[in-house]
Amino acid sequence: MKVNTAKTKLTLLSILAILAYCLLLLSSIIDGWDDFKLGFKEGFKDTPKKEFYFVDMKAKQGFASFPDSITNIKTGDKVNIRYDKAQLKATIVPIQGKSLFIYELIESLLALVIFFIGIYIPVLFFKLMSTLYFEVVFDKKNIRYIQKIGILLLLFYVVYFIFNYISYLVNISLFNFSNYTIQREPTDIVWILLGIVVLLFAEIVSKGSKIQEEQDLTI
Amino acid sequence: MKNNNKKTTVTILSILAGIIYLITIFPYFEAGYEGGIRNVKEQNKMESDGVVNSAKGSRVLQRIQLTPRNIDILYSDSIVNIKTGKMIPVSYTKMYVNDKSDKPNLFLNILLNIIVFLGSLPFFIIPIQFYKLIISFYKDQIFTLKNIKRIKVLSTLYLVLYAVRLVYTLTNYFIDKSTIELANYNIVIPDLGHNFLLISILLFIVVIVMKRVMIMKEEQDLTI
Repeated sequence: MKVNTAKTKLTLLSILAILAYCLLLLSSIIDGWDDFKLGFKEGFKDTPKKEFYFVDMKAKQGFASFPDSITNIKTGDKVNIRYDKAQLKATIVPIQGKSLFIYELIESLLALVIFFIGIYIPVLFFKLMSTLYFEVVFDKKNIRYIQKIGILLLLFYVVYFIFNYISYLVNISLFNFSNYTIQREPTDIVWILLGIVVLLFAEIVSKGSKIQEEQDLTI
Repeated sequence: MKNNNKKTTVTILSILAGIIYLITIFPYFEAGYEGGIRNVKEQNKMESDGVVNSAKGSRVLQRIQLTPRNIDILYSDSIVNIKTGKMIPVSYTKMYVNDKSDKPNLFLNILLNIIVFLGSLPFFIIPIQFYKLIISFYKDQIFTLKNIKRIKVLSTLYLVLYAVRLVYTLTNYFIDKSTIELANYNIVIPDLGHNFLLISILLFIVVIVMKRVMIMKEEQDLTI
């Protein structure tokens, strides 16, 4: 009876995990939907072609300063503001002695790697959850799935870090603003932590699998 | 020999997890401490200058996420690029607003403060539980009842964090929507932190897996 309850729990939790993951993916898609539409629309426009740049800004006078203002339609008042993130549209202006081509090539390649990881992790995750749903826990395949997810999470951090750094280099070589400094978009170190914790979980499942093998042999 | 290798892997991974966790949480405490001190100083200065009146219950600073109101006018603003001296079309996606609104909403402000207080509790308990768990993994005591309990506590705390963040973000969003309206931008709901929910569920799965291994191990020990 107790084992059955545990089985139901595992099935239920694997379904919930899939739903939560879908929610996470959906919110990312909704978040990036406007950017996607924007890129799509601009791509079909006539020449001259312009590039988009995502810039992280920080007020030069520190975070207690508000260099800009905007009208609040609700009250009609001007409110002080500080911009934090912006999307710029600009034609690439050649800068003397600097070629951005290499940067942009590396950036494109890294974007492809990020895209691949972004697709592959959910695939592995859904595969893992489906085997858990069918009550197959201590399986060699599962250990491999978990290990792959862990390694991909670590790789994701490294690639994303380099990607952000290159974007930052491109941004600082193209732009400079009077009230804001351009900063590197921080890469969340939580991806490394998650990667290591997932690898640790793979070790736990691997130990469990060994104990089960030994138990089966004893029987 | 292979078993020894496994032990080493778990030990190394535990040490790494412990170090990385410290790096992960440190910026939060540093930013929170600095931000808190500087915010209080700044607010005192602004109050003495008569710029804001916090006694009226107004929120001084909030970060809002934006999306262009009209898809045909995506770049409604512009900024001067000092490098070229030219104006560049720009669309802002996030901004900090120094809201001087003197319309007090005491109930919502109290609610937000309670939420912040409740939300800060897991931030202190999670690292303690995490390190206790990592230390016992380091000692190669993996499948114990204590560890299962610790992971259960971690899982519940992440669920609490998710709920608190959800309520906090949505409350802030609705306050922003009711007090601020911009001509070219819509205020949108920011990230709700669904990753906390996923982590919580995955930790519950780990609990079940560990329980099973523990039962198997107990049976094995009894057989021997």
